[in-house]
Amino acid sequence: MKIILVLFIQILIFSQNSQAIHDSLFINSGEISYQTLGLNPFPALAFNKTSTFNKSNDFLEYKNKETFNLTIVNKDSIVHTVHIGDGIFSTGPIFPDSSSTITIVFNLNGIYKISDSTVEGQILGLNSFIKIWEQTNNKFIWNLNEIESNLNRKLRQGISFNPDSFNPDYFTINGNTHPEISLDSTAKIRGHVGDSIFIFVINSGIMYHSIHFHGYHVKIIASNSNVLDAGREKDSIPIRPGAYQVYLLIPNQSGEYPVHDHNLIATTGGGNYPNGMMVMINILP
Amino acid sequence: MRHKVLFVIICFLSFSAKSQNVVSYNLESQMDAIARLWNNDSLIIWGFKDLNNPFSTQATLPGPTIYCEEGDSVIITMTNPSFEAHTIHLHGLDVDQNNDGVPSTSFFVQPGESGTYSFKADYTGNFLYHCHVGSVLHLQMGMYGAVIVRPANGVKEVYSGGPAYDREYIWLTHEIDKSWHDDYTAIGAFTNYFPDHFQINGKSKNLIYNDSSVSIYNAFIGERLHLRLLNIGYGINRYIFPAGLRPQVLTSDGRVLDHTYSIDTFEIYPGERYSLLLQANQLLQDSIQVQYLSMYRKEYWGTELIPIEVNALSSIDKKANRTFSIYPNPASNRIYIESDENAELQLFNLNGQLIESKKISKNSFLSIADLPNGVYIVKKTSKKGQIHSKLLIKKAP
Repeated sequence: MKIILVLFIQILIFSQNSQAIHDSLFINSGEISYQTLGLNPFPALAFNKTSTFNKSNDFLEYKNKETFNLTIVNKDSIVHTVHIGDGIFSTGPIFPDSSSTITIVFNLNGIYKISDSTVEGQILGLNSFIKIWEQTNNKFIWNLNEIESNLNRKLRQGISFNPDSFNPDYFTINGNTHPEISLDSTAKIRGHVGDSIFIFVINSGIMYHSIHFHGYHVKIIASNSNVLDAGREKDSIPIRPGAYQVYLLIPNQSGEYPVHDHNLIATTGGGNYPNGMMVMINILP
Repeated sequence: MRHKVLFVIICFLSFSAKSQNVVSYNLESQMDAIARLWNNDSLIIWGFKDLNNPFSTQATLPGPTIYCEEGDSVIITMTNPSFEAHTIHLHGLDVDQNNDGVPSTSFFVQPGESGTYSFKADYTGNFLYHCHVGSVLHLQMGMYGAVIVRPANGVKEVYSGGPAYDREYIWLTHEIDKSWHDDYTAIGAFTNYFPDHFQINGKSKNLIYNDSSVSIYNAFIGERLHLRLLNIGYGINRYIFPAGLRPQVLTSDGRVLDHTYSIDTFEIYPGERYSLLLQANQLLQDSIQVQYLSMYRKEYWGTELIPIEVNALSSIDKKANRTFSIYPNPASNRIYIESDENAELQLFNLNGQLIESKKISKNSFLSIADLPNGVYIVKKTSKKGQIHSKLLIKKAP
């Protein structure tokens, strides 16, 4: 009787494991405007979990060695090819209103980029990621990017990208700028003194950024930005384009503090200050 | 029992060995000071004037360096007679919210008012302070400075219990877009940032060569130089050391690194600070290159050079050096030379040109009234050998 029960449980576990996880990301086109800067919309692209455009790219989370199927649906008007993990996995060309499904498994913890094969797609904002990490409660996500609004307009008009004249006017975290970004519960850090808070940062843009924490030093627990990063305790942390880092913050004091790029040009938006790449930390006793 | 008492006494002494002084600085914010660029152009700056220094006539670029020791309590009072509000953000010092200097979460120091910021210096290392009102503009205009926390009791170690050093250099880098300073109301968007002057401690080019607090003159083989690198600019600094020089990287952002390493090229990003230890083991007359690069593709902005000169004087020779002295130094009109023997004295400029030559006895003098400001090398030659010394000629404006 016991043997039958064990076999039954094993079959249940096996059938649960064999159920492949399935997720979809839509390539949506739309327009971005930032209310605090007045409405001056410009075109953009994003990876979203539904077919409705949202300037915050949605990201995906899986466990290490977990197999999943990812379908990319192209709702844009041009062909896109999507790379995952710097080309470890790739779709073929996906035509407008078509889709492509790939089976993916990662064997190492990390943050794996989801990006478009063209610079234009990247510039227009197609920048998401897959987070492969043990699940933690106190986790926050910062997907960094920068946008030159006029360049977005030109790219949608078919004018090609000239990398020599790139001069962005918006600097974003999860597609938003300060102060709106602090309405994003995945970005604004909330916690208590003594908590272990994990911050996952990916630089999806093409600029370097130097993230400065007020009030605290954080420990870099993972990084592919600089081989010397891991283990350092810092308050100002450079991150190269395309790289990710994971910070551990254990607050030793309560308070409300900003975190921002210390290239202070990136704390402006549409030419105004304060804006841009800045988000708040709120730590309670 | 005696051992226990002794142990307690030792513990008490070690505990009380950490300095716990109160260090006070009084700064005044100004928005109409003038700094000189390397080409003698004037530069309108906003900055901080040191009210504790009776010789300080206006705000300086950078602001006065705040020095303290580990364990000290530091109080900075900022008086603001200017026409805009300002604050002081203590960058990297992890102060409480009220002392953080971010106006929306702490307080403004309004025109006509004064405000006080305080912190406990818990860690040795290199930190920054700057105004956090309209930071992108106020910092570019010059409202920044360094905070240096040394080990307690004047110990010359890179950090408490760390490697010892003989002398230190603070290199606080920044770049200037002069058009912002000429008319800040005409900047338009802040993304119109195209720096055209590159500074170390507020100086470029010849001003660096003439500043012995930036340039490394008269170092000796074996001497240990503590280089404190701080980047308050909006771009990347790439330090390229002359062949054979590989300083050790020991601390970052006021924390000791678990793994030290040696480098010949080193990059430091906005807001970062590092302590490097350089021990020169070869004769050298060269320059450390400091390249200024943008945050986009590391595009090249400019280069500054820090002269470095390493001489062959050993520690034994240093004792001999004490029998030869020149004073005052810096000097303006005349220098007096004390020597224990008859010798020949030669004065060179930094291009190696002989400016003056003179036979000296035990007590002599040399007129320098006709010589322009700058750094010169004084060379004494006697039967015992040669001794070099650096002389700074600095005349009142």
